Amino acid sequence: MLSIEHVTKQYGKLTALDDISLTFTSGVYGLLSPNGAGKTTLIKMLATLLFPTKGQILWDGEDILALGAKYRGMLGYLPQQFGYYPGYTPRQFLRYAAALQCIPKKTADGRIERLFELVGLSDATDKKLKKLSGGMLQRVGIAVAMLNDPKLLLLDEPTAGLDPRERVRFRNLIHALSEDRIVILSTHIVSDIETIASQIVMLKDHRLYCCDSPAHIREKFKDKIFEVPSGTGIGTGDYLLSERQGNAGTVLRVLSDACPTGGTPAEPGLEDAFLAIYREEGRP
Amino acid sequence: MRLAVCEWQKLFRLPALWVFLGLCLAFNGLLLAEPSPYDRAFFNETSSDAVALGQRADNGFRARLAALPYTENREILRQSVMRTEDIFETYSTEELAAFYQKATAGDPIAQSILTRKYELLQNRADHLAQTDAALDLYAGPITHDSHQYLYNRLLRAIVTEGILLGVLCTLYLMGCEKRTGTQNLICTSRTGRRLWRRKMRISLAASLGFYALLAAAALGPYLFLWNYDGIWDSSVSSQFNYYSDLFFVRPFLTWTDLTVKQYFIAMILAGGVLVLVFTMLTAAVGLWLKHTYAAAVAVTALCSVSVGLSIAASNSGWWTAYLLLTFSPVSLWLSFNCWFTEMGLSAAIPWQETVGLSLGLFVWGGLTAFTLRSFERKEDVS
Repeated sequence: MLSIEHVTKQYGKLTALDDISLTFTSGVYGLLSPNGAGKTTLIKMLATLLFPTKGQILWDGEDILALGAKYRGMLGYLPQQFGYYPGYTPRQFLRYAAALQCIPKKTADGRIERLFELVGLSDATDKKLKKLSGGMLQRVGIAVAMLNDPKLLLLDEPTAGLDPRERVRFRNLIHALSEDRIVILSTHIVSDIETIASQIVMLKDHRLYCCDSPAHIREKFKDKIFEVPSGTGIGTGDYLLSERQGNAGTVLRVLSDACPTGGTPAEPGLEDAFLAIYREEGRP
Repeated sequence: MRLAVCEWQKLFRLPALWVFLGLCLAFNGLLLAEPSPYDRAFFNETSSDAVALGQRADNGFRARLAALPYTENREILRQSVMRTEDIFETYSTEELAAFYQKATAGDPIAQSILTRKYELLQNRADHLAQTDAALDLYAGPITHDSHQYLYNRLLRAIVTEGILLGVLCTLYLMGCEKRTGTQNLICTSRTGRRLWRRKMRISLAASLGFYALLAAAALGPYLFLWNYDGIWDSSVSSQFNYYSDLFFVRPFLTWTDLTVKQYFIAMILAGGVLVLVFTMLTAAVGLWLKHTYAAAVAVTALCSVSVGLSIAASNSGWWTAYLLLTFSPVSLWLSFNCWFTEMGLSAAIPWQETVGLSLGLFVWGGLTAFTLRSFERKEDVS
């Protein structure tokens, strides 16, 4: 079990994260918030790349920094920008990663073959990494992160730069990997986690806003989301969330306490909740 | 795959390394071809004669030499040993001491340091007078040129190339993960930041390995071309050997009795230590800056500043500061051709190069250990 206890992270005078407390057990956790909210800072602290200014992070009751190599041996991490040696093949790169994880060569070779199959890279194992597409590189990154069969898998914005087909493939892959381990997936793209995350962690104003199931988060906005035809005036206190193409043309999705004139109630989605929660952020 | 093998592979995949090594070997080849074949022939004939005649150029030597068949080279040698005498019997270091007293006028601390050094050097001259070391032939009249060629050109070039290759390997190994963005992968692995300790060890081994390779590739052919059979056991303080700085010509007075062979080995070993010192200096800077190119600039700047400070100190008459700066790795490299001697203004104390190299190992080794430790505790090294 991973627990974050009253963790604060400051960079000089800037507070990136303020008094965060969370507990993670097996399952997929979506770390969802707009850019700059502190997702990467939190992920990097869990990866021991950054250290909390206050508070501590515990794995089964022990401080992860004190656990050191033992903790890192249980950790799989795919950073926002996956670095690699362009002249290596995926097989060479995974062998190198296995050496870094102190996995014996024989064990590593078997595991590497299975991972190539799992991530669908069996045909590209001996191509140079510099010749692989962004999606294929991301799959190499996942294979690297999974090499030590981690109990904690951290994925920082893993779908950035992937085309829709690759993103769907990636989501399915994460879902397949999530048994018996904690997967924390940081993203600002709601569709990445809506279907696979059992819990969504949201940060707002550098503090923890919520850690809840997608259903519960959506539930909070039940009877508050409405669709009105395009061109309808938005009432005071109402908030325009998004637009979409309906059968009768463009419709607006609106957050409102009461049904606007000409509006129809709509089932709230996680994206509606996200837009509603962060509606004031990013505005000039 | 073993991590050490992986790190060596990273290094060996660096094309610049092989290009530079190839250039060094080619340059050393040119250096080997530089001396005149007549000089080499004289050296080799003198060495062959010394096998039969011995190294001590006394009356017996002169008689035996006269009995050998005439050759042009033997005639030159015969003339040069005609009036050999033990120059150390009457040698006084007072003249040198007085000269440097005058040169460092205005800085009493520097004056007393140098006076003390030349007092100790007098003891060495007296000792060498007792051993008649000055009567050793070495290579006769070609001693100075051949000695300076070997140590001031060939071995200096090898050491310089070893330093540059060591710096290149270290800069690359310390900074390549930042360049490729793989630092996070390594830092979050079980091995973690301890990998940089391994990189450090590999940098040191690679630096020494390349230095040894360059030395073998250049000194092997050198010893094939230059016959040392009759010369190895000569004292390096032969009267035919001398060196001069900008101011003074002085005998090659070493701080302990050294044969040509012992001096040759000592210089190769000490050169290797200088390569290690520069490797550690680069590692400390590279780890601190975590950036290959920035570290390269910083190492260059550090060496240039060291030379600049020396020049500024001497121009300003701050001789104590100047003498302190002679312990820096760059100053030691500059005075390479007279190591194990009193080195004039390039040395404050006896065994300057030994003390300087030991200090370099201690200071830069300590700083490297410190930067490695702080790197292991540093946040967000990506």
